[in-house]
Amino acid sequence: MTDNGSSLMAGVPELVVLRLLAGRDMYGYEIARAVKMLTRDALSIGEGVLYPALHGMEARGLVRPKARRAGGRLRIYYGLTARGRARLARLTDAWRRMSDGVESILGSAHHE
Amino acid sequence: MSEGRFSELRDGLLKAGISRRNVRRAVLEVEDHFHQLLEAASARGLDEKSARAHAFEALGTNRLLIERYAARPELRAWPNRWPALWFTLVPLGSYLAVSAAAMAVLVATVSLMSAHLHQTHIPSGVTLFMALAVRVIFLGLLPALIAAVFAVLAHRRRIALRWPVAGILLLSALASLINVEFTLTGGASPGQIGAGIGVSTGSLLSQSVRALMVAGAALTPLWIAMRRYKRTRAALR
Repeated sequence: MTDNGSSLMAGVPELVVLRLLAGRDMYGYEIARAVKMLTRDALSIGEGVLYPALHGMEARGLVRPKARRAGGRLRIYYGLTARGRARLARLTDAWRRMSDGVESILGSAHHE
Repeated sequence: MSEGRFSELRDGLLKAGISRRNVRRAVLEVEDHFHQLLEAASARGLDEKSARAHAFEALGTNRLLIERYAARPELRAWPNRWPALWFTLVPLGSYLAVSAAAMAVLVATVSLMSAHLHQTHIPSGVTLFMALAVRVIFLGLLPALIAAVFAVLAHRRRIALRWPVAGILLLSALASLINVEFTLTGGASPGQIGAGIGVSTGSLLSQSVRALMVAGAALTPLWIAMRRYKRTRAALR
């Protein structure tokens, strides 16, 4: 296991992106801003590397891209698919179970 | 300056085997992201040079982006995902399909002309020339052309050299084992066409020579494309 928490954090960016897209369709820059703002920079998703992740999710049928014109430029918005919603539910459940488990260990260690 | 960076990103992604559709999308989205970072930095009062530097830093390097794309096999083009299939078996199948289609066209043409051919005397020189032309086209030009097209395509997609070379050798070997006979005559029997495949111990030498000629003809464009690429890279360094 690495000491930078990378293995612990694997899958978290996908969970976060799916959760944001469950609210409304968003484009890459908006997603990056929202992650920064909502996590107060605690969770860092490289802004450029967000795109291979989004394209990978699209290839797996989790998100659906929609091209829209914005200020003369073509912009790609992403929306969640039914498969994406199911994946979000599974990831959320897994994250909550893991988080509760870790929290109970941290809590009991704190009381000792 | 930024255009150069996005052009480099496009080239790098294509070389990494990412499908053209994903490359177009990636460059479009990263470029749009860059412009928005730039606008945000300018709105915070940064001068243009600092805003650009900040935007590039936030996006990450092209190398990192290309690595992340390359790590996702689902984003690669089909030929890059299955190079062994695409550059060895697909050329063989294409050759057989194109040959069958061309033969069907030839048979249909002769059938349409049969009434005219019944009343025509065709000199033996023309019959010999047609027979030779059909053999050269079906057994030499067609396999060499198909093998060369797939080999150059493989080079453009930066596929490991072993696959296009294996494809050329396989196709050359197959073409050398095939025999095509075409006889165009007038009068009572207006024409015959036949094709067969087989190995004959008596014609091993001629079959090997044919295979080598086809392989040589198909390897030449690949060799030219590789030389050109090496020169361009050397010039850029």
